Amino acid sequence: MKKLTRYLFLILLAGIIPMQGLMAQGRFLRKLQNKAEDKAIEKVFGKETNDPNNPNNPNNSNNSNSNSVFGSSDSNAPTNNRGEGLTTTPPDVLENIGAAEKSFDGKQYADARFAVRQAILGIELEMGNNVLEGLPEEISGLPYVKEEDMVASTGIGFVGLIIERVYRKDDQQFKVSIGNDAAMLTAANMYLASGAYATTTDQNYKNVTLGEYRGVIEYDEYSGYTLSVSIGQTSVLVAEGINFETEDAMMSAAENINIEKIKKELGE
Amino acid sequence: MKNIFTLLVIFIIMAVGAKAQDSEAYLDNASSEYKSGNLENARFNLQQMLQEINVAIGRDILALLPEELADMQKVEDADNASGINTGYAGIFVNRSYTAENRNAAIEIMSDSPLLSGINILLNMPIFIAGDPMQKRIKIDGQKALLTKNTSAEGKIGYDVQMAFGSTLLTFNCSGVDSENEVTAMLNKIPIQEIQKVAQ
Repeated sequence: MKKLTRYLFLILLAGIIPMQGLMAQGRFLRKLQNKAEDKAIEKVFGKETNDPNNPNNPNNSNNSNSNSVFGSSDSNAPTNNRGEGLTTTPPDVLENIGAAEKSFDGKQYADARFAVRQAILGIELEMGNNVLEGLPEEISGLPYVKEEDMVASTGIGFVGLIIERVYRKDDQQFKVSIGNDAAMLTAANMYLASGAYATTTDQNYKNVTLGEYRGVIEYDEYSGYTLSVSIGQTSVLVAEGINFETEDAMMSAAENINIEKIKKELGE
Repeated sequence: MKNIFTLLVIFIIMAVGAKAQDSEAYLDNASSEYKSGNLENARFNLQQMLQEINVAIGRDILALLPEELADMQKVEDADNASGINTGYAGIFVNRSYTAENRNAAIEIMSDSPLLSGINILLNMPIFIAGDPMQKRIKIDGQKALLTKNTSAEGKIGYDVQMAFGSTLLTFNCSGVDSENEVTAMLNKIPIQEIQKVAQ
């Protein structure tokens, strides 16, 4: 029993460790948001470079940099305020297929695997961008936020392809997320399409249909409406609506999404 | 742990299902489907290819494993190299050894993002602090966790888990009384070479 408990703990922790990456992403986004806010304030009020409390002041000796990989801080290191970041050119699919063929023939299997993964990554990014192109530019009076369009592909079946688009105006937001080709989504889709939710008496979620597709809508006082719809064997569509007055308003917003078009792009 | 691996083997065999097809055809199909704009079909062929590559890597790993350990001979029919594309484990390799009253098995899981987490955990000394039946050992430059166990019939056995990169190697044996004999057997496994092939 003791041994079993230890292994269960081991597996649990092993699951938690990859979550740290997600938490780090959250920290990064918060940092990005803070930086954007600072820039906006600077634009309105001007840059106060002589202010000793200003963290952007390079002459400020108290300005410490705690972004070191190993957590130590270097008081003399400047804060990074330039740089375009990494280039996001998708991998060339045909080039990588060719490289995979060559490596496989030469029995360089690790290289072949890398090239195949890169080719899958290139294809998934292309599929994701095609899906984004097919989504409306405005939903229920909310325009889409171009900068927040997102396509993520890990090349790992565990996670698959994720596509996101955000529509926002004032305090109202509608976010569409599409997940595709993840091992876990098959099970999630079976659950969504089975009507299993209907057995509950909890009124915060219930079964709905979006066009001809079954799904589940949930309501949370803080996060608003969440609609999850199974759209194929391994794809799921999740729409999140913040500050929508009614369930009907949320559903009619979701009806603007052309599911057939998405399915076609994803090969469902 | 042994039961978990047995279940995993059954799961992999069920998931892999059909016999591997011509690998070159997958790449050719992927290329032509991509050119004609059928992205999903292109991806499907590449995912199949990935599976084939993992099987090929698995075979390479099997070729590196010793034919015999101590006085135990490998069990021919028990050799297994599977490729799977669920993201949990890309490669699964298994070899068993047997002799009178004793047996051993080597299982290697690789190409899994989850294993990096297990790697960190296995190398944490805190996990073995409270168990007198466990100790950390080093084989071919890699740290491993050795666990001694005794069956209901009083037969002594050892389990060893060693994680490196995205690979987890598990060794278990029964009917072997001495820890030195276990480490001698482990030293016959070319860990560095396996690591190179599986990376």
